[in-house]
Amino acid sequence: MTKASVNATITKIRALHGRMLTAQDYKILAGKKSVSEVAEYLRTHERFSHLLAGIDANTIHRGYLEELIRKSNFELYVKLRDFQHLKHDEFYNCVCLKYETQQLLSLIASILSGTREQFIVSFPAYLIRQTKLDFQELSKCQSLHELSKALEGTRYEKPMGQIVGLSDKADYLSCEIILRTHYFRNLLQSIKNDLPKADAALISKAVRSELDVRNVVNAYRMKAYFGAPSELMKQSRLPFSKMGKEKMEKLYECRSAEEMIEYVRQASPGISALFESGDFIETAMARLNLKAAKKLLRTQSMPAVYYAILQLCDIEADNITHIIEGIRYELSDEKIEELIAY
Amino acid sequence: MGIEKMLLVNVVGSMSELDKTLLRCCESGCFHIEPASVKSGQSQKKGLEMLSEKNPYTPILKEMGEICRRLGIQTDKTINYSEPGFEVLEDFERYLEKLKSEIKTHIDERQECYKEISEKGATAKQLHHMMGMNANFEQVFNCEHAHIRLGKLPVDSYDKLEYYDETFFFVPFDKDKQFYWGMYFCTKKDKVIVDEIFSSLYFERVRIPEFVHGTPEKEYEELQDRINKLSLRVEEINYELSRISETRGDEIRKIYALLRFRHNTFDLRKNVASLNNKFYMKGFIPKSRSENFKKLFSDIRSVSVTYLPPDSEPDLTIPTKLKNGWFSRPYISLVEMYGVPVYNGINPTLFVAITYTLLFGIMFGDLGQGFVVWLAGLFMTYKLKNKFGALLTRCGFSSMIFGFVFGSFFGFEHVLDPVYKAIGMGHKPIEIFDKTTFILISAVAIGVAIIAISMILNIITGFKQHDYEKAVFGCNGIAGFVFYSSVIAAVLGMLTGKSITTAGYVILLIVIPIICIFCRVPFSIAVKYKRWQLSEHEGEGGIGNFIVENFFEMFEFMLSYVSNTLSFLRVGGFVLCHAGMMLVVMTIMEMFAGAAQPIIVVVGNLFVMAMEGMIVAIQIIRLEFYEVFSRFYEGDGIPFAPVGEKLTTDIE
Repeated sequence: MTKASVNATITKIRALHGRMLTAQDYKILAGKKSVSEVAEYLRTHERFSHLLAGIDANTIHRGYLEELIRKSNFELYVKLRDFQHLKHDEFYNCVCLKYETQQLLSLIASILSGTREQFIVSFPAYLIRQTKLDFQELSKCQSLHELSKALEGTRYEKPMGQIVGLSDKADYLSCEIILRTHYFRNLLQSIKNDLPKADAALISKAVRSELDVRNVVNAYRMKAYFGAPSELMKQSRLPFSKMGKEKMEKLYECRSAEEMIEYVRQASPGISALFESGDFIETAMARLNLKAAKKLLRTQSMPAVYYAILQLCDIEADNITHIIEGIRYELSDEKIEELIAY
Repeated sequence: MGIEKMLLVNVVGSMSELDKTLLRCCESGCFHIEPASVKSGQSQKKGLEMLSEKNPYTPILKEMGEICRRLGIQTDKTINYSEPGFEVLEDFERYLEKLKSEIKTHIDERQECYKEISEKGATAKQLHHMMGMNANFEQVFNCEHAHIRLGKLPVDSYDKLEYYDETFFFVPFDKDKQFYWGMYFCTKKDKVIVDEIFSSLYFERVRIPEFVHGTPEKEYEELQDRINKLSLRVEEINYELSRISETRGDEIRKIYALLRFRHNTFDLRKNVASLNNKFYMKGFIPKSRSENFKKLFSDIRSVSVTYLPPDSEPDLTIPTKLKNGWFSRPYISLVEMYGVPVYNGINPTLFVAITYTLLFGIMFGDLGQGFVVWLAGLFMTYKLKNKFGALLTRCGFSSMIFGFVFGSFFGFEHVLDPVYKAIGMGHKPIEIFDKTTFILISAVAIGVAIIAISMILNIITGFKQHDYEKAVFGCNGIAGFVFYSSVIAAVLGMLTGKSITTAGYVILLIVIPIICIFCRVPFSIAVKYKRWQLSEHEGEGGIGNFIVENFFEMFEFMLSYVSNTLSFLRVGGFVLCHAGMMLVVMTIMEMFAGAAQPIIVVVGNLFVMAMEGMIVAIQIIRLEFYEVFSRFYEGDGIPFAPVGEKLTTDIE
């Protein structure tokens, strides 16, 4: 890649960031009373006007609206990747890997619960053209063993072998840990192998920080909703932390969910600043991801900027989903705002 | 160049004559009304009560406005508002009822047509997507064993249909960017499950109206026929309405204008106070119109008009009416962009008119192009009745004069040579590219002169307002003027080799003015209040604060003297730029064959005129506002707005 073309892509990405939803937009959206109003607002917004031009805001289903936004994000990743002719670069293909992992997990969940239709409904058709896995065939699998067989010869052979090796103990949680570890290992490996050292250090740090966020949120949920013991939380931890194993284990030792929040707040003044009174830990952690992504976006490293925009688009889509859910459950504007990271 | 002298006028009369009095005030075209009681509570003290009635003309005006809109009658311009037979509100109501009965049938029918066109159009749009169905709707919906739904399916969901093992078919008829339009079939026994599948795939049903029975093609055709017929009917109705509008448009416009006038006149009542069946109102009128204004009420016995000096009520702000001659009048809009001067301030319109015209001529100097601008100005003034036309004629004329000085005619630099020889000059006065230094120095010299005049205007305004900081000690007062002109003189002396900077010169004309500017606030307080105080508010900041603050302000003043002066370099820059651009046009022209040359000259000239003309116009406004107005002009006044002025163009 020439310096000029890299600069052009960085500028393109930053321009895109400039069109994304702002705090003001989120405040307005949080005040909407129906999905139609949200759709209508988004339709008039520069960021989504092109995407939602042909839809009828009065009749659109909330699921379809969310799917359209996520699809547009996915198409953006592909467009940016192809714009720089980086199709054969493993790092830039990791987005597909991420989506494949998510879909395999969704398939495993439907196999374990015996609800195959659920998988088909939630399966994003736009992935078909970008993946080498035949999800139509995979969706016919009745058991994890069959799924493992169907995935032989693919990059998922090894993790699926691990899952099948667990035999009776293979529940959804263990499958999730194995498959997500596989994804993050591949991602970090590609960062190390494909990118210049300085870029690699920058992005690797961001990925590890993202993993910390994921681990903290998971541990909190396990404690708050299931009262899980520290051993179980340790087992469900994804590796490659930035925070460090020691700090994480101290977190697991907390006696209650509230104590966990307090521990996280004290662990870093930076994290503490992201909490506002009454905030959910998920929101605060998403803010941490948002902050890290915005920091990456300001760098002159093309892969870092690329990774940052993926993160920012995902957070934006999550925010819209939270707003729609908040409206469905008739939450107040203030409560909805507490769910949004901006 | 001045501001019209004003008088405060009190009008008192019997309540029964109020409407008549207000009408006369409006007709006078020179009465700027003020609320009869400005201070809150003042009316209560005197027992005066402000009138606050609901305007009875509002609903009828609204209705009449709606009718005018529907008939396409322009209501912005009025011809005459003295229509006989319309004295009271009931006259207007009667007229409106009659008018409504005449056009109501047409308007109602047109509304119905629009409604039906909209409904049928929406159905036709959906049927258009179903064109490939090849069956009629009646048959489709009356199937005994098959369950059928028509609608649209997202493109992504269509790709997922293959994943299902259930027995159903989806037949697409049409596809756009986001949806497949079509229908799905299944057996009646699978109906519930298949509906659920399609619902989860975000299938949106299209409901076909009951009046649709045949095939989509036939129904679509019939709908289009119906829509066309309705559209024709709408055209017919529009034609009938336009006939009414043509034959009675003038009459309706006149009545509407009169009604609006009555409405606005009634609205003026909220400025009137009453006591013991008498009304009181006050306002300002130009001194020159006082005699005529009084005469207007000579036939209303109960009304008395009293004149007072304009500043006799300190709570009222005296409005400003600018007096301008024919030359400067078109430049009022430029001045008003910045704001209206205060009543006891200075009217800068003539100064702006002279400097704007002069600078435009210099920066856009071309005899031919100036002539075109002048012609465009005449066209705008007399054909389009646009007020900017007059401004263009002046600028165009100035451009012609300087074009003659620079010897430029549509970019041809030597076409005027015979003229110079004929008048005994031998050659053109200024050859632009040979005298670039002269042009740039002259531009700065013009800037210095304009800045110096701005300072003098500031000194005059300061003395008029008894503001000694502004007039004497400020950076644009006497001190600033002495400092600026002395520095300029010293620089000129240095450039010409005649040094005038003696010790006495420096101390007297440079150092002392600097000290005056530095201490402008305490000095002005000392002159005005005969006491020594560092700031206007006692106890605000100490000596340290005073020194730091004024040090930085002095720094800013010095910088602004330099930057404002050098800013005028752009005047010279544009002279060179214009000549350079025309040189490019000429060079391109020479590169082409003979037949293409006139086209290139015309297009090139048009391009330069449009682009450079606009840039020059904007740049001069910038110079006027930043370099000139910022030195003396405050624009805090309120414009003189006589009541009723906007309602007519006849009276005055």
